[in-house]
Amino acid sequence: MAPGKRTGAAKGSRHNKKYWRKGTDITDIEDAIHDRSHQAATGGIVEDMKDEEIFVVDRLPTSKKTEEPQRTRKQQAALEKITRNITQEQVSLPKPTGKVLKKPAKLPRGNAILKLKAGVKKVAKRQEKEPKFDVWNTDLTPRIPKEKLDNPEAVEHFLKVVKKKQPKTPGKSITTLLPAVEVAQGGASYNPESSEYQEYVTRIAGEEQRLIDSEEKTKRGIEPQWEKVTTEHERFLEMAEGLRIHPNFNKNDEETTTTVTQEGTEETVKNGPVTCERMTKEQKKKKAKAAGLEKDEKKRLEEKAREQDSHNVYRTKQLHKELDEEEKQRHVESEARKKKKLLNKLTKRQKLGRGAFVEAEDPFLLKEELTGNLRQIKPQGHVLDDRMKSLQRRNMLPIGGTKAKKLKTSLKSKVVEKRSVKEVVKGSRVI
Amino acid sequence: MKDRFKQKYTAGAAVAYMSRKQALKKLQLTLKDFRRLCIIKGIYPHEPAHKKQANKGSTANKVFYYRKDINFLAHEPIINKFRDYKVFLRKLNHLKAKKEDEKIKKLYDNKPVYNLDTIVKERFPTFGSALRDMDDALSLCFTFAMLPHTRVLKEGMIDSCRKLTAEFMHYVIESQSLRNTFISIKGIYYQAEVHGEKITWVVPHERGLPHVTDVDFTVLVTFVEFYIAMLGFVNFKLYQDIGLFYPPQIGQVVEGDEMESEEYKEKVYSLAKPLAKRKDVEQTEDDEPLDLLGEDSDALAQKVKEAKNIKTLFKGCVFYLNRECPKEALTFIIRNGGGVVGWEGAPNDLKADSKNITHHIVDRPMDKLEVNRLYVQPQWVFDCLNARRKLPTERYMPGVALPPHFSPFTSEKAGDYIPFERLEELRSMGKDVSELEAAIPKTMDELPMRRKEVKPEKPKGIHIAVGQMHKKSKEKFHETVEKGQELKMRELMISKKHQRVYHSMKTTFKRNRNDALKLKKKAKLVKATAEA
Repeated sequence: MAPGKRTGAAKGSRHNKKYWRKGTDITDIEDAIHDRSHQAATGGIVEDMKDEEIFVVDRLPTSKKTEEPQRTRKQQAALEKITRNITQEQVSLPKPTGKVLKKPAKLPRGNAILKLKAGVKKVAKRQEKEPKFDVWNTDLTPRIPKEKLDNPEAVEHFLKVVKKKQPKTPGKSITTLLPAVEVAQGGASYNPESSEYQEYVTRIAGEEQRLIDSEEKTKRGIEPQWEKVTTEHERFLEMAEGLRIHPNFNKNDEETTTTVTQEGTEETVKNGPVTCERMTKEQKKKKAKAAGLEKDEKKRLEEKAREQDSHNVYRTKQLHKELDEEEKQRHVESEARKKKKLLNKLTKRQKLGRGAFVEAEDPFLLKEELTGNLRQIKPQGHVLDDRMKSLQRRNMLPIGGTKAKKLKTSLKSKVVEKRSVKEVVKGSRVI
Repeated sequence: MKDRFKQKYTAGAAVAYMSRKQALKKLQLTLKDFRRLCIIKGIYPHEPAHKKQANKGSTANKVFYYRKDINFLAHEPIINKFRDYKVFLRKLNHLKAKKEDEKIKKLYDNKPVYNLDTIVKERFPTFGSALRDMDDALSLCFTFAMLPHTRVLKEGMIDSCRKLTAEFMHYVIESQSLRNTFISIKGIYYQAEVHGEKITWVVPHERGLPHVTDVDFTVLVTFVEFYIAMLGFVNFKLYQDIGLFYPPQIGQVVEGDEMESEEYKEKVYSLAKPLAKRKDVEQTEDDEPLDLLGEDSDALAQKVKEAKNIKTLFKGCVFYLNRECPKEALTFIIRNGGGVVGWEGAPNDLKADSKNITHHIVDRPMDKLEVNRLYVQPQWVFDCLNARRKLPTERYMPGVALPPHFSPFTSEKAGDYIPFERLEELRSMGKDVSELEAAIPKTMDELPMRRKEVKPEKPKGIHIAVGQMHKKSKEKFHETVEKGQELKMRELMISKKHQRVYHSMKTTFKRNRNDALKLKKKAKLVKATAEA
């Protein structure tokens, strides 16, 4: 039924039941039922069928094949070369017709796939552990066979250049005399003798106490001992002085004023009278005389020394002897000094790097922690820690430290244009 | 004529030393690589005598090296390997980002590795010099063998540490060269005498090692890397010397693949079974020197005698270890003394109820004891080695409070307080303790009693008596007084400089003496109360 064209009951109001029964358009449904029954009669209902039953995959090209681009002969040859089947067995080149001058060319060498077929497998390099050998009885110096290079000097030079041969090792000096492994003291035994343990523990306790003391000392140095801190209340009192809110306002006005004046008088400092006393004639005379005597004495001593020097001519032998002795003494002292210096170098920690060496703390167990049997032992300290410290003590490792930050001594200048300056432009009026 | 001045800092300390920064610049290496190179090549920093000179006028604390050392380092081919490695890492990063697994695998196969053989020989030109540096190597490797593997600590490194240390222990066992042990709370110290060199090392206790924070592992790993190479060669040479197969073989000869198996490794690491010896090497028994030297009190003879005592310490004994005992340490010591060790699950699988067990090592209270074997606590084994004889087992029975464990590394000074037990031990080791004993101060009751002379009663009244000689003791008294005075005079003559040292020395002597006396009295008191 075409829209807008209504007949019969359909002409009436759509609100009534009558319209529902007569006026409803049911052609769609009837068509659908008809379709369905027709489909069922002819082959099967399309909706229920699977995709494969209805559709066929189209494998034929729909569009025309794109034309191959025109290639030159050279291009074509190159293309063939890269696309040819390299697995194909290659036979020797065809025999040339006519006169044979050269031998037939061999098969190209780089046919990896053929080689693979033939059974030659290339295995990736594996870093196998080489068996150990006696290094101290084998000659490890690199060599070049004589037929390759027979000039020994040239061989030497070549090996050095390619870093196969090393130059002579610089003389190694002994770095330390300290033992590599320092055995723990008897007191560190897992089941120590009581006196040894006591000794060991008191030493550690003493060290600890010293550390605590030094820390306290620095703390004392840093913190002011009698620092007065103004509290909020005191500040308030000060600000409210003389105001009505002050708790002591007008309480004993007179008393305070009197005390203030008294304090004021006490505080003024009086300088003593400056006097300028002159020496009396007698005193002056005395002083001059003393100076004269001193001068005379000096002169006399000088004279005496000169005379003694003149006598020294006669005791040159003695003087030589004395000088010899002095020299000998000095030599002995210098030798001792050298020895001490060397010993210090070999036994003491050198300053290597910025950091400071911190001595390892000896591990210990408390008396109640000493179980006395191996099963319940409580291990203390770490061996690696010890090793590290030992290496540092033997001057084998530098000790790093943080670099001290430098404070800026000069500040950068910054150019700022003030607003008041900025406002002044060409043509602005100066008031 | 105008004087030509020498330029500053062109000679002396300024040229002989080189700061680390300069060295890095010269070698074109990163700091990390330079550190590794220095450790591997054994080149250490030095503090210049004239620091300001070496530092071109500055007094900053820098790390200095000898210039000749750095020049020598510049020729090292390993530097190129370091550079190759840098390239390798870069490539790896690139490929990983692209997720090209095939290529990554290939790259790993061609990872640049360096060989330390020549460096080992260069640093230790002789075998003896390598042995002298074993302390460090062993201590580090024994510790590393116990660590878990991390990003820095590669698994392969820990495995090889374990392998090499086990091999070394096998050598010590076979050559019976362990001399001293000491159980401290840090770990167990061992001392062996190999080729006349005393090698001391420490092994941590068999517990999980605590975490350490202030240790730079990258540094230690580099040390270990070198020591692994060195220990391999040293072990090989040591094995060769006493006619053992290297790598070690147990029982029948096995081939490469089997040797890599976990089971076989465990067998070797347990130390319980003796190693197979090569047939082509003659075994030499050197008993002759002892007979030649005779029973002298000579130090050498003493040493040889001690060595022989240790070799036959546990001969003919079969030890069973209870499962709570530290197996490695005990097996090591017992087998070093010629004993046989076993436990449940060991390669020789000794059962607890086996008839031929002579000693049963227990570290916990036991309620069921068998009759025909001795029960001891682990400390007995350690103390026996230190004493060089089998100690009586009564004091080491399970459940008994053990006697103190002394360190064999401490040497007693005359005048110190030496406990009674230690004196006994020293005496049993055949050392001359008379001097030490004499120096121990005597308590009042030990001093010879002064007998009171009984004076004959004087008869009362007037009498005649035989004339008496001048008393000799009085003369003696005068003599001592004179001696004392003389000493005092001599003390006065000491220069002021030395006087202080002299007095401080005297007071320390006195203090030590008093301490020793006090301790001795205490010990006596304790003994008396224990007896009562």
